[in-house]
Amino acid sequence: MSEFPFASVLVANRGEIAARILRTARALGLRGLLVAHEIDGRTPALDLAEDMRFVSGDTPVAAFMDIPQILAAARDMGAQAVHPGYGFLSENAEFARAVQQAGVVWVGPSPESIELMGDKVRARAFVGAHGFPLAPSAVEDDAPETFEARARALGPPLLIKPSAGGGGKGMRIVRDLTRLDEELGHARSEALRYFGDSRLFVERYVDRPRHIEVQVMGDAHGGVVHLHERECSLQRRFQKVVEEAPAPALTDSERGEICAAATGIARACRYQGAGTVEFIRGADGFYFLEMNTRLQVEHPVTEMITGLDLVAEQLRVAAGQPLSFAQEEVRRDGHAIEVRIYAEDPARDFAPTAGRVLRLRPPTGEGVRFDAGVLEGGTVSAAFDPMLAKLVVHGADRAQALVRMRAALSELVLLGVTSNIALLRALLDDDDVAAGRIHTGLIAERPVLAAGNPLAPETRAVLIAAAALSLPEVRGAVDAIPQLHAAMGAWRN
Amino acid sequence: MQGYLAIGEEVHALTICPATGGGYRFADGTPLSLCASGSRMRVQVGGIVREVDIAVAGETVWIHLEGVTYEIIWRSAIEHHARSVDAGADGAVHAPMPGAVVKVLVHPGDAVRLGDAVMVIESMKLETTLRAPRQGVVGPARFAVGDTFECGAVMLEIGEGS
Repeated sequence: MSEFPFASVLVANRGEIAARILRTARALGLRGLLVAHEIDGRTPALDLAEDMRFVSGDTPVAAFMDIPQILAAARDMGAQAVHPGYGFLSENAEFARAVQQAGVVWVGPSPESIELMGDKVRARAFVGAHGFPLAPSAVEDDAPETFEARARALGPPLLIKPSAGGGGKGMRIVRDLTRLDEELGHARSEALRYFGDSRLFVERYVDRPRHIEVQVMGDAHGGVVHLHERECSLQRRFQKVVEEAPAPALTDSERGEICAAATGIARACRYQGAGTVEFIRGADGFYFLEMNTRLQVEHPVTEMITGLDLVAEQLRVAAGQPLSFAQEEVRRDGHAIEVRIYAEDPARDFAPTAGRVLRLRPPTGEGVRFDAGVLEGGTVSAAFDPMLAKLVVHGADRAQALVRMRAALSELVLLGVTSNIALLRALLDDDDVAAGRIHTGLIAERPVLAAGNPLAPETRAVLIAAAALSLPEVRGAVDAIPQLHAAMGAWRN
Repeated sequence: MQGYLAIGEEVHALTICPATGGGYRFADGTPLSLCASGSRMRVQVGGIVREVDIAVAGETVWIHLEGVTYEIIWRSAIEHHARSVDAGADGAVHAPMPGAVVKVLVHPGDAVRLGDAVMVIESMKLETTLRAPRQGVVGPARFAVGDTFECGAVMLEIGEGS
């Protein structure tokens, strides 16, 4: 007899997260179902799914945002639960409601929680009203006619954000207040384009900020726990690149304070399932940033230090079970680090790359986990987010985790698609990163990290020899030179 | 067999010949070989031996060497010179790789035609001829025999001729 009131779960997602969820479904004896887009070809998730349906749309992304099509696929395969993963429809209250109305179990928080936290302005007001720390700010909706004056009064530097935003889109830093008007105009048009909603708010910008977030879980019986914090301060263009747990710079009392704030916020909104409360930490304390009502990309670092399977816990909560552990039973063992392997060229301002994965050899070894969204022989298109895989390591402490990550990155072979692996290695070798002195602007401040090293003469010789003898055209042409000519010596210009 | 290999911004002239008794050698006689070693490949150049992963797609060779991935692009001599002509519209002769000057074949004020040899450089024991990117008049000398330079350095400028 299964511990779940559902026998199958549809993953409404793709890439590494689809494979990761299907793995847990299989381990729990649930039938794993999948929707996929044909542009992805063969993927790890397809290999794990017990049934699948293709979805299509005007763009590949639109296919994964198409609620009626995904519900039809769920019905067709007899799905009894839906897990949305992250991105796409994971924070779409309309989708959550539609799944529930179809009599299917929604693996996520209530549509009301999603709506409350999805609107950044409402979320801030809610969090502030419950007494949790917010950055000094001006919200357009409070009084649109005085918005600019109130923003100006906060004093520079300022950060403009879209009310309906997320993922760093439409955000702008203003250091010179004479440009505030102009920057508000740009932000407004970006917000309208990305989110269909031009409302803004402005916060005092914290210079050299650290991004600290807390994993929370709630159940249908009022249980709420935190699973410790993560630090995700190494970012490029407001997107995370390296995440770790615990946060290296926090004292135990700060750690206790930030985790208590996160638990309090989750409890205040009667949160169910896995969620993340994000904070910005500056020189003078921490502020609520936003709450993500879904599983996060970087959840494996939390799994590594707690020994929990967050997807299994999500499924248990969705099944109506109480959390299987109490707060004091949540472990915090050692240190975990995750790096995101992106199909992008750091030397070309992180432009996305594409191609065929000609060779993929994951790293192995103690404490190493590799969650990949691609297979050897598979294709990487520019149609989706450029994240190819996540490499996660665990060590007894941060120093050991760093050593293991450097070794794992050097062992990882990914040929055929330009990636950020060299940037990640340079980043982990950086003195400030190694010492934990990090902030969200560090990568942008150090273009040298993306530049790559000059070739040593021996390296150059090996590369030229290996490349030349691998090219059929070169080998064929040399083999065709008659022995007589060869004996007379090489011609050169 | 002659052509060019581009490794990032560097471009290397390649001359490979059959070695007497089998195998291959560079123009200077250095032997080179490549053979399977388990799932990887073993490369040998003179006394240097390394294990690498290699994947080839058309004219691009991907190599994983000592934890770093390189993308190397093959260009035949014809393609290489076609690109040099495009790139040389401003009259500057750029060093395709770091190295040292072996010969300077022209003098300031000489008239040259597109594709004339102007300088010979050496890098990694391979000699490469630099050619005039356009027709014109050779500008002031910037490098003498034995001088070294970095990749991308302007070696010579060909001014607009009369």
